Amino acid sequence: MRRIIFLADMESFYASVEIARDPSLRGKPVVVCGDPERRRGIVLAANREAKACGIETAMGAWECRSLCPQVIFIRPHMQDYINVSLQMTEIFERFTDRVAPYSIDEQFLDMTGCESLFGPPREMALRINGEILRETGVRCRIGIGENPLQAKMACDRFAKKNPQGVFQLTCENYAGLTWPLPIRDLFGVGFRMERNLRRLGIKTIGGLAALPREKMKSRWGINGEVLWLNAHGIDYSNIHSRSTEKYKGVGHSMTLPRDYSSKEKIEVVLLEITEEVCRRARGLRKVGRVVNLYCRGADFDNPTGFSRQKKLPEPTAVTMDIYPVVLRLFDTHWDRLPVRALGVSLSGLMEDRYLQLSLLEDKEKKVRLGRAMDEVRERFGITSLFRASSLTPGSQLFDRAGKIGGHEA
Amino acid sequence: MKFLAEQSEMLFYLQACMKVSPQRSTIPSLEGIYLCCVENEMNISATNLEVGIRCKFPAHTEKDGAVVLPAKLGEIVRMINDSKVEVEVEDNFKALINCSNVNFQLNGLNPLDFPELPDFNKDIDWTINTGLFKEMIRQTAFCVSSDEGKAPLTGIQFSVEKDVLTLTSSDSFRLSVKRGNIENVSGKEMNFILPVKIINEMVKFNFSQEKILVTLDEKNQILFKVDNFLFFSKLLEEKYPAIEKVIPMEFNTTLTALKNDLVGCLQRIILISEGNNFITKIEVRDKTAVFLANSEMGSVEEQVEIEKQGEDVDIYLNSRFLIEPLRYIEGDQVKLNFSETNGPCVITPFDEEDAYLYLVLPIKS
Repeated sequence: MRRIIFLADMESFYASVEIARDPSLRGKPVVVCGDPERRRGIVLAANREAKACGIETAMGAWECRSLCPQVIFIRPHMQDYINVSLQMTEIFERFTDRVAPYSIDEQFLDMTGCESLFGPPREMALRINGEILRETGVRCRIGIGENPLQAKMACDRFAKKNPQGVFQLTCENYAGLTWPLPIRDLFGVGFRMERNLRRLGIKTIGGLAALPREKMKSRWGINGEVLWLNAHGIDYSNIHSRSTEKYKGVGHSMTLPRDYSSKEKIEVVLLEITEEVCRRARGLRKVGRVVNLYCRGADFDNPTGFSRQKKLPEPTAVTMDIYPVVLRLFDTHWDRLPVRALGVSLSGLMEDRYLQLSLLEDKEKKVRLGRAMDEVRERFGITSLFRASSLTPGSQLFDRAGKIGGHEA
Repeated sequence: MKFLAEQSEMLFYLQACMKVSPQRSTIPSLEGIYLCCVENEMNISATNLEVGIRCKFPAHTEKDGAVVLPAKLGEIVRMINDSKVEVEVEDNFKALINCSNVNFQLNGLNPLDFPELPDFNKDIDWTINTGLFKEMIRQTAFCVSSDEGKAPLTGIQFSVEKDVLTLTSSDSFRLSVKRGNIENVSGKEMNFILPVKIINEMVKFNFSQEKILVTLDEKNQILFKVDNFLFFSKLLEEKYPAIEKVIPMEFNTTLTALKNDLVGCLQRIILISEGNNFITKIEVRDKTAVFLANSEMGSVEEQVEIEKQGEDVDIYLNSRFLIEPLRYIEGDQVKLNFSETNGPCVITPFDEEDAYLYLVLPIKS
């Protein structure tokens, strides 16, 4: 049976939500961005009028002003965006029970079988767009495909560019429509892969599709093979609704407000990140046995950094069991150049119902202590109980408290 | 330097040395094997600076001398189809290996670059029966920790008191204690932690001498002398945690079972429990013990016939931790002792309860 998959994408999501809240902004160039004095002063979203002046996402605030002097800066309200995103999921769920949020402003919908209720795919898409616009004030674009990849390509490459905001790709028209596009437009191709492929003389999606599958596989392994499948519009993945999804890992990462080069400061931040990861794992009542550390260097033009993992001797979610491993990973792999972003994740998760007792320490006590700390923070806030190192320079705890994803709530 | 040696004999000792020479080292000569021949006696040795082996065997020497040759020499000698191997080393440490129709030339190193190794020229501290020593090591080495974060637990604790040697090993979840008699020549009491590397190699040999001679030197090294071998190892400069005190004096439940029944049952239990961190539930009743495990794959339940004394008990244990000691316990029957649901399980052989004890902590649910 042919599947019908939608990818719904919100136009200029943050900016659209702001305009919906304050209709006086309509028609003016609006940019949502953090404090222009700090690194967070980058464009998180710009509406169509602002983009027309040349403003792009991730641009510095000062650049916007020179491009468009009348631009209106609005500080982010992350909690509102999350609420609107959840509201959208509810609207989608009126049409199908298989909704999978992909990011805050993108959600996959499996509409297979719904056409007997709501009509052909295009009609369903237009109807969803109408309900979203009426109830949230945000314009939604929908890409339709026979699998998630086709839906994503349909949305990014076509639906966003047409006035109805709907486009359908099928196995039949996929090659004719996408193959002439530049290779950069293929889902999964970043600027480094684009550079690699250009070196092989491949400039279009069709060019990649024409390569033998084996060649892509031998050169780039499974990733190469996936790109080849993407070029052919093939994707075997499914839309699982959120309720059935299993957690494979928990992670937390942050971009620092300025580049850190002092080891002590970085270690303070690593402890705060580790604590947050462990707190999340404990909240899910899980313990993990693989720790991953991600670190990105400060130099944008010469991307450096690493992502390395280590298996723990036994599964745990105790911050101070995991922190020494994070430190060792950092010390082993850090090239001593300034650091821009850090992330820690814990995977290999399993239920925390069982605890292998130890001769050396009272593990139950450590577990109970962690839970008690989590409960205090749950009730009185994240800054109610913290480690003394969070009072030293470098700490991000107080700066980020009350923010969501590092942006103002 | 020039000598003629028996191929099989030379191979045997070279292979022993290859067990300790490091694959890669910042000191090039450590990657090789040191050879020295003096008056019809060959001495060969290898070390990684932590542990080492020295051995000697007879050879016909035409010209005395010494050299360090690549560890590959062992493989060369293995592949030679001749009962004799002739080695001649020139002044520039190039070695020519000649036999029937093959001529190898190996680039050697200056023997003066090879570290000076300890010698057994000190008085013996104690001696132990070779077979007993190997058994004692086997019964303790398997539960040594491989976690660098628990440094003292990466070795076996040796305690000598009068004529009794007690070995203790633990990875913090379980504990092995093995006692055996020695002849304490020096009469000294001692306590030290020995990394497992060298003794794990030692137990693989079939020695012909009945006694192993042991001494500690002033550089915090232990030396074992047996047959034509001298094994040595640095000791860990750590303090062993006082974990023996967790061994309960009394038990509420004691069960006796046939060892092979338990091993068979646990092997089947592990098929399922390995998908769930080896978690196994054991319900001990009057005539049976029920073993249960489940994982994402499915579940398993097995009854084992037992003799029980004391109360019923339900306990969660790691099935891998349970099966491992059974491989090293002699005799047809074993005893499992429990004190309470969250207390340790202690396994002992049926007859010699004092000689060996294995303790494993439960999993708390």
